[in-house]
Amino acid sequence: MDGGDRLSNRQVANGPPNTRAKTVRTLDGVDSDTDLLARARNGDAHAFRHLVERYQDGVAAVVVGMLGPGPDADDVGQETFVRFYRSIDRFRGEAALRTYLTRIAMNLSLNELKRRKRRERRVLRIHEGTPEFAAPGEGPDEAVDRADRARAVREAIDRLDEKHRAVVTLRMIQGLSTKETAEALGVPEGTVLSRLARGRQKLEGELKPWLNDDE
Amino acid sequence: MSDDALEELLRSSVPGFDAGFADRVVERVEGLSVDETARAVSGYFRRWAPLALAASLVLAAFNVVTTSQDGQSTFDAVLGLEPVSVQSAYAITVLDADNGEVGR
Repeated sequence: MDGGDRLSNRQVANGPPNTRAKTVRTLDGVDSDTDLLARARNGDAHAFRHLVERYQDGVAAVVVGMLGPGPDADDVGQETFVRFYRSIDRFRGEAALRTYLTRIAMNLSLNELKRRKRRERRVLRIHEGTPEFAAPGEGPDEAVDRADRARAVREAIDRLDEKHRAVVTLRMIQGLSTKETAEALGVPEGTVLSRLARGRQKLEGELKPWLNDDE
Repeated sequence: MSDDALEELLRSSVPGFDAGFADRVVERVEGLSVDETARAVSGYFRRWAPLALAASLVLAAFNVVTTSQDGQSTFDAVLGLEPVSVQSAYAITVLDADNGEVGR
């Protein structure tokens, strides 16, 4: 994300770079969310695109974390920004834009999971895996290893129920705080903590070989 | 086993969207403006539809009460149409825009 590079020196601490995108106008011309929102409200497509580029990684973390990679996740990601665009006049900034987008993305992801369940009752779903293409500078063995690891993680996340998966996605993948996660999901912070502990425990059990490999 | 190791493993295994995501979003949003116009127009008509229907019913009732005559069909009465007969057809008044009424 090009926006991510430009934001790197003014991000708020405590989180992965792509999810901490609250910015201020600076001498090097990076626009604040407020400026971009004002321009987008007046129909400036360039400003809206800039917001999409700034927050797409955060939305991807939620949507891909919940649904896994593939066309469904891309569709839900697009729909998240389309919903945001439709409600841009009503967004007054009471919540941070990141939290607002996260909430839309999470609701749409949960709806998509429900749709999938209904579909799966009728048809056995073909697993949509990540293609095993080597990344630049990566050998074939490393590519296979990466794909295996990604598949193991995906399957472990898929085995979590929706409530635990949502908390794990927001806290551990998207990098939200406990408070932000509680706000996004509309549950008390204590519930977030207990679901996180349970989810983490299950994931650690299932992903032990991959974690030991890294150590 | 550290919490960071698990978080790192999860994050590194969850890819972002494919290239061109912002383009796809902007494309959808641009297509949306046409849909929004259509939706606004249909919403406008939907809002006025009950009033228009009520006005139509009032006019129909008015027509039935004021123009109903013997031998007139209900349909004609609702629309407020005068009964047409050979006699009434010959009695059509012909108007001349410049000179006023010129004959029957």
